[in-house]
Amino acid sequence: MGFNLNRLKEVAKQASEKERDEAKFREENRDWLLKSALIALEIHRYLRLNGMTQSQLAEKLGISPAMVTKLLSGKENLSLKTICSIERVIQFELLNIPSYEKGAFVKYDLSKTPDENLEFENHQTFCKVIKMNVETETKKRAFAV
Amino acid sequence: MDIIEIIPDRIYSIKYDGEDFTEYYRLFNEEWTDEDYLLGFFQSHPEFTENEFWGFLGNDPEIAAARVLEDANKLEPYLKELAENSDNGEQPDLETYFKPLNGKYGYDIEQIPVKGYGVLESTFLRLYAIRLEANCYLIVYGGIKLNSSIQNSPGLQENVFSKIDKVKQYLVDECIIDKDDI
Repeated sequence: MGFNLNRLKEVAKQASEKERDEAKFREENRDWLLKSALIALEIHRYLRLNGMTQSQLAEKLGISPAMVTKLLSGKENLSLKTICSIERVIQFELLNIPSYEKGAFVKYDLSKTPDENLEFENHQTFCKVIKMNVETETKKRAFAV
Repeated sequence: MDIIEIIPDRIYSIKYDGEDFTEYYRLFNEEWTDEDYLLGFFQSHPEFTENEFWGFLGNDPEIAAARVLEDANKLEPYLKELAENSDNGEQPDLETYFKPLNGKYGYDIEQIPVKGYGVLESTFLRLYAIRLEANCYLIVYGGIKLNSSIQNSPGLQENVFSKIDKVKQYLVDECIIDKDDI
């Protein structure tokens, strides 16, 4: 009864070079690729809700329609300058960095080890703020990166 | 049809005839992490993002797509972690991740196909696999589940059972399963 795993191993092949390379690329670049795709979706949503075309958005952003197409591909490694331009147009914060005023930055105690510093409540707050949380935010707003 | 090793001794994937890539690659590289594909998928099935299961997303295709993106980007490293745990005899492992696919295959105790979910609490993602032995699985298909049952979910209804049956027959033909076991 059951499977003949020795036979399976004889039959099984390695993944193609392309599959292996792309898996490695996904693993190494997962964070920014996800952010780029979420930003693209946010722009799509903005266009849909405002009945705006990609050309109109290009004009507002002062960039070429081809660049907008790239933004919407969700695979561009966007610069902070580009992200801030988009934020100004869509009036929505794509990168949510806590401000000093809110007291959310980590205040490291240099007499302690980095590990001990990790225990700081402020650090936990910081992590919570920067951690993308589509799960809980989707109902209230779009998807903060 | 070919069997391709994804994570040595732990996860294999089918590559169907006529397809350029494995099912694993199709899901994690071509579909679940491709914002364009996902947006098109949800835009073409608006009735499902407002049903009783997904209505809380507000019939918003971008939010549904974002949900899948985040889920898939967590699921792939999670599978790797489960495979490592399986190697080290730690929990959770792949055995705790995959669940029996009941219904049609409920009678088939030895070779019951299994399903795996995304990592978000309410998840669209499904992986369908055949359990080869403890902590060793062959991914047969996967997709986005839009409704309560496979039979009512576009994409899944046409493929899940037919692919499982096809792969089981292939395993028999290649002497990986004893014919009498089916």
